[in-house]
Amino acid sequence: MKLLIILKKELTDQIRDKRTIIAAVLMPALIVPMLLLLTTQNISGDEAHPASRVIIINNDSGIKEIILRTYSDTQFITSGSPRDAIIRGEADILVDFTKSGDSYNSFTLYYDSAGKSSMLAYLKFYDLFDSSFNRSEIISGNVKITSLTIRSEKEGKTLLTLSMLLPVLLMVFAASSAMSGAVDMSAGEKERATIETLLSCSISHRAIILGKVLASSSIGFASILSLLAGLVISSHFYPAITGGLSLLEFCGYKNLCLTLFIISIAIIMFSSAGIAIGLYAKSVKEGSILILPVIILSSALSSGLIAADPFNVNRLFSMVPILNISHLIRSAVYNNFEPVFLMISILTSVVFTSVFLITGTLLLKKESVIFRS
Amino acid sequence: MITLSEIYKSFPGKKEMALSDISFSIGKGEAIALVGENGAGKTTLIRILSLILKPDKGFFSFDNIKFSDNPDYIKNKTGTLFSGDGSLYDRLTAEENIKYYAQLNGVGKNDYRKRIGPLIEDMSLSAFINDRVSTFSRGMKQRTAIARALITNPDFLILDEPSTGLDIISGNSVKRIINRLKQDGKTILFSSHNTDEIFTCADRITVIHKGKINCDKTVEAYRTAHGQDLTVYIKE
Repeated sequence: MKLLIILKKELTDQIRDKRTIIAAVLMPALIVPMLLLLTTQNISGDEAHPASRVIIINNDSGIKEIILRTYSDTQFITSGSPRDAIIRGEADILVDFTKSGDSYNSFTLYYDSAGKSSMLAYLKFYDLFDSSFNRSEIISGNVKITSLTIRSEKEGKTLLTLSMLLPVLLMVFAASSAMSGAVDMSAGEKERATIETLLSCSISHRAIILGKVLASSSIGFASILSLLAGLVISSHFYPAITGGLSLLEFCGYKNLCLTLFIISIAIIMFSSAGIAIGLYAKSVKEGSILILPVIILSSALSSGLIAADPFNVNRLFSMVPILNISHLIRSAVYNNFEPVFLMISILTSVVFTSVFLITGTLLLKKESVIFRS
Repeated sequence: MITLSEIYKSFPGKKEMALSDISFSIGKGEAIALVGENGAGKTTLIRILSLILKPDKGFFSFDNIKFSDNPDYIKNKTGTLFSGDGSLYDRLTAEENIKYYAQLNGVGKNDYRKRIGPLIEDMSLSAFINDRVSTFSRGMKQRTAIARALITNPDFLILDEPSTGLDIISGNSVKRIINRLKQDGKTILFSSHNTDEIFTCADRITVIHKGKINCDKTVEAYRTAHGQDLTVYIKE
């Protein structure tokens, strides 16, 4: 089949370009683990719950007792100028109060809204004082109530990390590597003036388009494979980057393979779009500019799901490209697939891919587009 | 062998026709030099003959087969060298470029093996056949591109400005190649601005000016009438 000749030539061409190897294969394998390593350095166990530094007017022992009952690691600081101490970062919060005898009438909490630890302290102690003084009295009985999460702390952190980051990273790298390769194979063909020779050969336009889409999809797939491999290896040696459990340990082979299958659908769609855009563009530079909004959109749509409930997503999302794939990746992480959502998402992606392929084939026939330079 | 009949071609946004009433024939084994100033319509005509562009009106036929009836037949019988750097893929080797073109045009493995050796010898490509095209000089690229056009063993060869930008030695090499292909019985259409190349290699001169054919004479007839002045039919 002639499209395989196109595929083989395009892959040979791309692999011999050092920039493609670095950008599409090496960088995903290295950048993503590095990114996760840097972010987890800031969110280590100790820093997640820092001990607050509190100044209490007159060092009231009653308030100290209330605070220590809940936050035993609180540090109490004395200062001649408490407000300045907060501004300078020497304390997190200042508690002032009014009292009638032994009863507290009001509290004023002074904090620095620009300071992260001060803000956290404010939230903690506001809730503490509110629950201690304002909420209804609960009559204590003999029934013991214990709260336990269904997942261990490590599992919970890993789930959170992967469900937030994996869809975004996969979509962005899938879009950028597949589409960049596609633009080079289409706009690049025009720019390098090799398109005339290609069109003079006895090969159908459809075979040319399909061959190039397959080739750019291969580049995209290699990029994703590299990303996941890098993550599997680095999280195996340093599980903290994925929240405490390694990627393979948490997801398992089955869900990783499912993730690969799902992202492949997106890669083919991105490649088709990239070929169509590249054929329209006058040059590789113009094509790269035109694909930028698509890459940004893939990042925005996939990160928009972060706040959504993974167990309760509107089925209409299954008809929105990128959003549907991102949700499916998240479902793979949560090990919670909805078959109907999956089927509709695949169908939607196939429809969009077909539209891009048809557009590309039509553009290849248009003289004004082929010889646009 | 090839007949062009009343071919018209225009492009959107341009007032003047790119080609207007182009009609002429090319006999088997003939070498036609297509002459004209830049923008005259030579490349447009070449693209139509290579089946990259379609004429607005008119047709051309190859061995009495209309281009619209069986384009693949005509493509298989035609080898084209487009102007520029031979339109080769820089990251592929010379042989890979030739093989890619051969495969796309349905040349079988056996035919390819039979043809590639003699082609490498004829075009003097042996020293760099396995080198990447990005390292080639212009002359090396042209010879590789001509070899590529010949790998399908075409009956009809179209060469768009084959010696433009070449040094004297490479230019002479191209002239020798054209003459040898003529002796082998190939039908050739080449566009050129090189007077020596035109009068050495061509059997006929066809002058195209502002999309129209102004002159279509044998080389001897042209020389008798105008010497070697190629500007006679393209002056304003």
